[in-house]
Amino acid sequence: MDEEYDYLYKIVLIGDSGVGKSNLLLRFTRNEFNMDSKATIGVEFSQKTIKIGGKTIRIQIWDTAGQDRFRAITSTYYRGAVGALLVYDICNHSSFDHLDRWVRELMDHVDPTNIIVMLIGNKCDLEDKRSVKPDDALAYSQRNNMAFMETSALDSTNVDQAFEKIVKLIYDQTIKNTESTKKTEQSVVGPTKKIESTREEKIRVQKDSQNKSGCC
Amino acid sequence: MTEDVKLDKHGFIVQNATLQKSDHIGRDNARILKWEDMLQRWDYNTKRRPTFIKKRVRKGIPDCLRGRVWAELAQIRQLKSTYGENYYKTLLETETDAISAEDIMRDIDRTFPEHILFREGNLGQPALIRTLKAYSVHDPELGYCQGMGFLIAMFLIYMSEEDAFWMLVAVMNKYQMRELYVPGMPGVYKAFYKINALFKHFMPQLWRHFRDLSLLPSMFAPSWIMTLYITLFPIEVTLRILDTFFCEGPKVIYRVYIIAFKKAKEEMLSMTLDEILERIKTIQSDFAPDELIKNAFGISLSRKKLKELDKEYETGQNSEFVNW
Ligand SMILES: Nc1nc2c(ncn2[C@@H]2O[C@H](COP(=O)(O)OP(=O)(O)OP(=O)(O)O)[C@@H](O)[C@H]2O)c(=O)[nH]1
Ligand SMILES: [Mg+2]
Repeated sequence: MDEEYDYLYKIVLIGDSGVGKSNLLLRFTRNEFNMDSKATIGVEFSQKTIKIGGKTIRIQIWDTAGQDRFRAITSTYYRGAVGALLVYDICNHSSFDHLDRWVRELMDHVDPTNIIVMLIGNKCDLEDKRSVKPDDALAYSQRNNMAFMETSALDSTNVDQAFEKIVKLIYDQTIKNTESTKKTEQSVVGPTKKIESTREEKIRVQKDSQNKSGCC
Repeated sequence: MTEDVKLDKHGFIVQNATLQKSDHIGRDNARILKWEDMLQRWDYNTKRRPTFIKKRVRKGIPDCLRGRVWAELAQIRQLKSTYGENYYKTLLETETDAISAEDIMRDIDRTFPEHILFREGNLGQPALIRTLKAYSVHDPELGYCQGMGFLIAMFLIYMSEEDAFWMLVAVMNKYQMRELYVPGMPGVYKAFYKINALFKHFMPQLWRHFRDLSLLPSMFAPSWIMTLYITLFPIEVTLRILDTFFCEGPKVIYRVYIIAFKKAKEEMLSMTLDEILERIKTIQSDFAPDELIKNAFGISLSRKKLKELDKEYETGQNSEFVNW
């Protein structure tokens, strides 16, 4: 729990109720699956540390409730996110039709220029019940400038890969941002600042100065 | 259902079958007799000896009488006579709106699958569907909101389907839970306002630490308050909370919230946000049921104080308790 890390990213999981957000997270963080997991009421926090290109990255993941009504209280969770997994169920076309609403909701609460969104078509183990074509989803993701993957929390297909992919994209973006804002005091993981503790703050500040010396 | 499962005394399926025997059968029986006696003259007792009832309830209602006592405390008899004998039946005959119906169906398999009653093919699931649909017809503005299922499932374990429905009506109105569930969820904001204020009062150090970390109750506690802790604590604790909730009202929600942090407080003071959120995930096993209830009622919290905070929230909010 006390391991040191180079970066701290906050990622949110959003999408309709029942598409499998909590199970994706359960698979990723504990390699488990729960056929009758409770509906998420409000939000649930998880974290995991992974290594990407020699860097240790701590990800804070906020799993949110999918039912429409909970959007009334979700702004606290979106605040400061640098990544979002936007999840639909490949067997449930309406969960795909609602993507626009989720994106709009997200963008209202985060810095749109500093967030990576990745589209996830979950439950790809249920091929015979499929109602969303991969091509349609791919087209949607390209139109909206998102990465895209189909996953299965049940049989593990692409779950680790999806999380690693989004973290990699965030990492690349933060590096790019640091380079383009050279010498400014802006932090690498700016938006997560608000929820960092003093100890984390120290690590980050240290890291920032290292980065600066690296790129200037 | 031929599956060979082991159940605890409330009907929840237990994995490692160390079946609990009731530890004090003699004492339990004596308590049941006292309660039977009290129920015999219920109306008199509620009018003349409310403190006596309150004391008894805080010690826990005997399981075999729980449903009856909850129903009496929530006064569903009165509700039934106000709405009429056939009201529930009429609701069942009315079509539920499509969105509520879909939301309800999606959550059925996800509600208490660990309880024998709600296993597929048993009586619980159809009753859960009917009661929730009936409620959404009864109260179309609210319809169905996730969280309600856990409340009604709990009632269904202890009482008839129709009584469970009336309990939900009572919870929403008499016990003011409705504002937590209606669109916009205004009650959730209001509850967190009060929680923040009370937390500052009772746990000043930890409150400051949370504030400095921007750790908000909305990051972990919506499910606590919306399901009256059913989704947080083990069944033994939850039942005791519900007993006192029906007897004394929503105040217990605040008492429990504050006490929940009592044991973890010292550790948390030196923790980061992540660490605290992880620690909160095990907070439910910090207490034995009796211990939690005793501690919760050891706090001096008056109805008046909550009323004042309600008023403060409606009129001039103290920004300290809105957001950090
Ligand atoms: N076949 C299959 N079922 C899945 C998969 N992922 C989740 N499920 C099932 O879908 C249902 C809902 O999963 P959850 O993970 O609880 O869904 P959620 O998106 O978190 O739902 P909310 O918390 O209500 O927003 C459960 O019954 C899961 O077992 C998957 O990859 N394949
Ligand atoms: Mg969930």
